[in-house]
Amino acid sequence: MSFIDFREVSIKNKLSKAKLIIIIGSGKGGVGKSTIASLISLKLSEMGKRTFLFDLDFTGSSIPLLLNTHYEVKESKKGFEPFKLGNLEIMSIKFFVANKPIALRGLSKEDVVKELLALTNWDADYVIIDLPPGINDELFTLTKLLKIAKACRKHLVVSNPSKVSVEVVNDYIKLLKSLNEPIAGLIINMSYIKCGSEIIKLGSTNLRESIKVIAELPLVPNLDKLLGNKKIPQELDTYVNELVHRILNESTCKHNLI
Amino acid sequence: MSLHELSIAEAILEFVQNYEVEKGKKLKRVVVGVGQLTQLDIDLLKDNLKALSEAYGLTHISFLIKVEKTLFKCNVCGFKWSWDEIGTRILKDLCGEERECDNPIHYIPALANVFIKCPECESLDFTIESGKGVKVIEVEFY
Repeated sequence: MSFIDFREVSIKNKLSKAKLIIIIGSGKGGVGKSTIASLISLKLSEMGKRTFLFDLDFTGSSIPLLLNTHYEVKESKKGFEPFKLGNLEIMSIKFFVANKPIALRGLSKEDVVKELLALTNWDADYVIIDLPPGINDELFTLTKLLKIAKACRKHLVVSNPSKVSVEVVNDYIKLLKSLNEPIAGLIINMSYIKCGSEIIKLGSTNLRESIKVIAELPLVPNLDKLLGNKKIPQELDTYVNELVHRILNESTCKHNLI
Repeated sequence: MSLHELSIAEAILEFVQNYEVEKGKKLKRVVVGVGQLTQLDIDLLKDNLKALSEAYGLTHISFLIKVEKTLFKCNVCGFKWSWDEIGTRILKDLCGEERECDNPIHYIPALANVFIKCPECESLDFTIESGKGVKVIEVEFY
């Protein structure tokens, strides 16, 4: 025999206990995946739901910066302790390496995903996973583990309304469909800007033909600064509230699971 | 360093317990390969496996641990080196004057690429050819 990856059993046991896993991804970078992952996590936590936000964007990790969390990982008898903020637990590679560049190739990325999922002492009903942009090792490793765990999950695809993003995001949606992954829908982020009573559209998308649009969010200036207070900015609260309730109401997990 | 050996032992036992159920038969022996890069205390890992076996109903299994040498190869200049050559210096960088400490490579060996450079060309782009993490390399049934 070659060798057996014992970590997959721990991961399977942990992932299968979650009520819902929401995977935030996109073919394109800079569209606001981490922001949306943070907003959804904060809202779930605010609703009293035990939530785990897992930052899988190793090379462009931005959750710790967005949520202003300065934390160096500690280990307990039960594993790596996530950063805790009320009902919200957060784990990121940044908690291990601080500000050093993370130079990881394929198999090493897979190892880091597995070590973090197997050895982090997370205990939550709702798991929000922030993926790196594009079609990558993290996505393939994660979907394999989710399938093994038969985890209740939904993918949220994020795009902005620019032509360049739409093309790339469309390929990402096609890939998720080919992997038979359940998709909750598309969020068009930074879709418009409010200027007094006027709404200025920042582009348009033809992605509606291939995927259900479940939210269109406005561009909010200084959003990253506002999120640093670990609270949902007032300008976005209604949108995020509706989005989260929609995801929860539509996620029965009776369909699309393999 | 003690808690990490405990987490690893628990994860191995969780796997072994599940493996026996999956295969429908009892295991006699499990061989675990441990890469040098993990900096795990082998005696402590053995003790933890033994001590926790009872709670997992696995006292019938003997665990054998094999330490695997960690070897690196640079993806840029092709240079090869080993943990034996650099380990002391890396641990001094990570732990200061302490001989050992809880450090990111101990926690997640794949993070070696963040903290180790090729001794020849200083690239972070290298492959850990052997002795990276912990794995079950052999099992024997009754």
